Amino acid sequence: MPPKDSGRATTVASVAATTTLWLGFVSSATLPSGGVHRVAEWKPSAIRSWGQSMLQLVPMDVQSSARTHPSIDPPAWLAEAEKSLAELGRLPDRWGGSEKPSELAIRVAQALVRSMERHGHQVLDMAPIADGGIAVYYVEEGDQHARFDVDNDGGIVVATRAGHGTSTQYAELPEAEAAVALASFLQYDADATPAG
Amino acid sequence: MPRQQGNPPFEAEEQLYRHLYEKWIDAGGRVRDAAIDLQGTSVDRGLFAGEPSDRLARGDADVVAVGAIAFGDIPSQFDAPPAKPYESVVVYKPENGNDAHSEIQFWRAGESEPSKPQSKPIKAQIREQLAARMRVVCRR
Repeated sequence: MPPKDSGRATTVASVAATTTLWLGFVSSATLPSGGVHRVAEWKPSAIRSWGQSMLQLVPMDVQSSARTHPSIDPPAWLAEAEKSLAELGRLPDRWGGSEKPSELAIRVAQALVRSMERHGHQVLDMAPIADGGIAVYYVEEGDQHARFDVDNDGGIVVATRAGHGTSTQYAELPEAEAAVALASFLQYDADATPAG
Repeated sequence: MPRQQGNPPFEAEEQLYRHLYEKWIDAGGRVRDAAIDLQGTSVDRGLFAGEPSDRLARGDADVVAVGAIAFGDIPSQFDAPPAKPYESVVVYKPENGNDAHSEIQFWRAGESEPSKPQSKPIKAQIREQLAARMRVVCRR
């Protein structure tokens, strides 16, 4: 079995190559069917073994309360996050000598936050980047780190650091792939952490 | 040690102070990468800046803290494979009303003017390396 951190490092790198397949699967799998949705879950075992070209997307049954259903009200934190994004968009030009987040950056950040919410992940905080754009944080705990950097041109970098002295991994990804990559990293992290 | 422009010259131990907004500090009190401006990070050089607490008191109300980095702690170079690396250059640029104003700039190796990196992962790496060396020295 590979060491824990090498598996996580593989996660983001492998997502770019596989997301098209993943998204195709999800889009056909999230249609309602008798109150039960079938959604794809990217098993950590699949991530670990991707180095041997083994992608395993394991469909599983989940209750219809999954956040893929449009009739379920969004959580309160999501409204707060969107309010915070709107406030970032109202920063004055050259605020504090810095470039304000563009409308495009706000829209992309909003889409990422919503995508991550559908993956079950709550945003921790957001900050304007001094030379333009928005940083969207999901983990800032000791040596562990997970965030998106959204540039003013809408480009996205996924930044992840598993901790234990590892270095930060950066991947520039399109919007849909970025959310999948970060969610996979966070899911792997949760799965790899021993209970108790 | 980074390159430098302006007189008097920076000494290795001279502190460079950066104004910090609330969102540029994480819950653990560390300076976030977002505080680094790759078009030129404005700082005040310690030689003329006075006490950080004075700077905080007279500054913008939204500025909640002052961060500091020693001139000699700034990485001299940032790798950007496969392209040429970026060099850090600290430029003393006094402004009206701020004799201490300076900038940490990023220049392509061998070039004679600042050049904001275009690669997004490289930009993120430079921000991280610089922010990690900056510490909060004073808070409201």
